[in-house]
Amino acid sequence: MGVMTLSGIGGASLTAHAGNTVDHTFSFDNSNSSGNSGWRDKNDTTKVYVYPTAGPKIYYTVYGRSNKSSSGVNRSSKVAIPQGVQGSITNYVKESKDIQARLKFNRITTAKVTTSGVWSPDSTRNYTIYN
Amino acid sequence: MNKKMKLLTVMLLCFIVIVSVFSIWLIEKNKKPPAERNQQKDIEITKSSEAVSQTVTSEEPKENVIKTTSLKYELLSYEIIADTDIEKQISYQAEYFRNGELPDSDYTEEIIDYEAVEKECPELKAMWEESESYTVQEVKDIYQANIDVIQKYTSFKHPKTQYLFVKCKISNRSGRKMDTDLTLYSFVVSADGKNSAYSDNQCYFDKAVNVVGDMRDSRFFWYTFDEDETIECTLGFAIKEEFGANEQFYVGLVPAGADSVDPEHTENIVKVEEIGD
Repeated sequence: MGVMTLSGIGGASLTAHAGNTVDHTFSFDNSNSSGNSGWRDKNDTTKVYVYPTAGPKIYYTVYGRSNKSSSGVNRSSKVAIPQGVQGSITNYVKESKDIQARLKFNRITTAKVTTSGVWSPDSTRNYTIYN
Repeated sequence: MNKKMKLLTVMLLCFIVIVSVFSIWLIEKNKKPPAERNQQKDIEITKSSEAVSQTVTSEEPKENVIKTTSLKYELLSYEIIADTDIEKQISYQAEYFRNGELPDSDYTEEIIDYEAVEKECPELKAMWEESESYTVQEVKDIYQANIDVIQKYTSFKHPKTQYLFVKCKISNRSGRKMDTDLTLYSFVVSADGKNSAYSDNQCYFDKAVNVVGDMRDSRFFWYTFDEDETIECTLGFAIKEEFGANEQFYVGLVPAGADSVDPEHTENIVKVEEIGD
């Protein structure tokens, strides 16, 4: 196959890897003030997909890291996505030389209730866009 | 004199008797009834048994089992195939790889010489050094405006990759019908044990049901279990070399939010070479 170029948003992208678009489940206990998902490989410049399916609305921030041991840096605005909304978060993970992305969760309301859903670092289309 | 001696003897005898009686009284006072004595002995034996069992547990190898509140993975066997052989093998069919094709033995990834880019493009250098000072859109605009510089210093290289296939039994223990993802992470530890890294690089699932269109892109590794259902399946991982020769591989789950993990001493992570032992 050799070099593969995929078209990305806003012009040419340089990735030779398919997007990491597989949905992983996430959950966050709102009795904590914040939490994180695991790190996942980010292969292109597409938006991060987040789809909360249960629990209270919380904030999501996309973090990126350039090596597989650091704690990363925020690469998006902090956005609130309610349950039932498929969200596409604009981010600059790949544009910042990062190779992995994760979600940081921040609660809005204190409660011993879990917010859960699915997410993926890359996406094949845009849903409700959060800039 | 005899009277004195007699008196002394009597007094001595009395003293001995008093001391003896007192001693016997003391012994009887502290003595526990038989039932209580046996219970104390049992507690001592239990404590020493616990100490022994704790010692044994900490030296026992971890089970080849990964558990969440709703799933149990029992890892049964494994096979590792080098990237040079992945296209020639016939055990793992193309349809069960996520992209529907056998992996390319010589696939490439981009390598960007960021030092050269920063030397030629001060605007990108400034943006990368102070990215928090820019809005998301500003970062994206600067990046796209200078994409030609980045392309100039981009080359492509094949990363050495090993394909790990793990045969396992996965059980639904949620007590209800459940649609869930069956993704695990792979972990790589350097030969000297000092460095580790994890990735979500699962690439193969031979019980996939979401195989068309968007569902293949997003839910290929998902499965809908009936209540108490167990499936036997093979999960595959494309593990790129991270730290050089003689790396150790593990598979499992990442503790919530962990930046890095010690797979050898973390629950729900299994050393690959011990699978099937």
